[in-house]
Amino acid sequence: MTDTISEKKLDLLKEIGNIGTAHAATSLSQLLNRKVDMEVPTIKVVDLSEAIEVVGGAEQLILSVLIQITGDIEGNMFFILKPDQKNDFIKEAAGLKWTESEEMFASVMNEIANVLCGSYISALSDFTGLAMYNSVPSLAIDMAGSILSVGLVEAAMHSDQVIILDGMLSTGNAAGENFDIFILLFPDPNSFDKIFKKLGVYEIGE
Amino acid sequence: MENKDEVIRVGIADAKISRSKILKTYGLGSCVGAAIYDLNNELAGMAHIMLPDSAASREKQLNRNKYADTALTDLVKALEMEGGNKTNFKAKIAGGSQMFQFSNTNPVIRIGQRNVEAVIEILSNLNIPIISKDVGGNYGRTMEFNPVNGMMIISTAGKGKIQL
Repeated sequence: MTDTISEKKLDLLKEIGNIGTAHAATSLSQLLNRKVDMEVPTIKVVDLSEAIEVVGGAEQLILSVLIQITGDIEGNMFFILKPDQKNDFIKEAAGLKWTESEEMFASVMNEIANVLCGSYISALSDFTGLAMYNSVPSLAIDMAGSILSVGLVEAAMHSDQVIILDGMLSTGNAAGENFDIFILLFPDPNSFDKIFKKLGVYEIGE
Repeated sequence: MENKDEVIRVGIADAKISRSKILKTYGLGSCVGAAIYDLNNELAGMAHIMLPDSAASREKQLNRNKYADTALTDLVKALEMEGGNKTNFKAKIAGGSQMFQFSNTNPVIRIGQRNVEAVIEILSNLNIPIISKDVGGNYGRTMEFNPVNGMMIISTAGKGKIQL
């Protein structure tokens, strides 16, 4: 399926990524009370081996919160931050210091990701008119390959190629550095046809 | 320091055979890395397995290296083609983590454990003994295997390196 996807359909998915990422950016901006820049989201059609490299290589250490999506559209959404920015980020977003417990950290980080990804998902659900429910969030800090491959399991049963909606938010922090946050959506292959059908994108012959 | 020329990289849903050179696969999470080797011939193969069973595949064109059953069977055949002696074959395996803790029963979340169970069962059916394994847990692993001395090295983000 993914090997035959048309430009028109890819454009539609790009638009979906655009709407979702823009809503996540607004949430982040409210949370930090600061301007947030959004890179124009890209849509990637890549092999499994490239999919686990999209945030800097399979061994790259990342902080990630995973939210699983069920409903008419199913898939996995990853909120990703550089691990060495976690203390600064949580301090600015929630006024917390890293000295508090790991459990507290995970719980706050999960909640922040939940707010951002939640706005993405509900915007997407509103736009498509398709039901989407998000799972509770779960945090892991580890090698990118080991984390992102979790989002590929369902897709891998269908094909060696996957489609990733790749959004990036960026905002300066108090120290003058940038927080770069990736929001990646790995939709399960069964979801695409539902999206295209609902939004009336057909190919000749379909 | 590792010489890049001396390392054969095995990608996700991929398998490679090596004579003497080190085989390496990066960032195993729920996936399982399996090395099958014949020390007498300094010959080894490694697969980076994503899913337990090819029967569940909905692929138009099956990537046999993706599934425990087909990947391991093919690895044995390829090693025999290269002059390996099946009676010498031994295996070392790593991976099969559950990276995220969810309370729900989504089978995708338990995929690591299912991959490990499948690899153990298939190696047993092939009469290949598992000499060592480093599986399960909630963290990622990079696995390398040296066909010359049969050693497996596992590196993790938080726990450093171990040799098995």
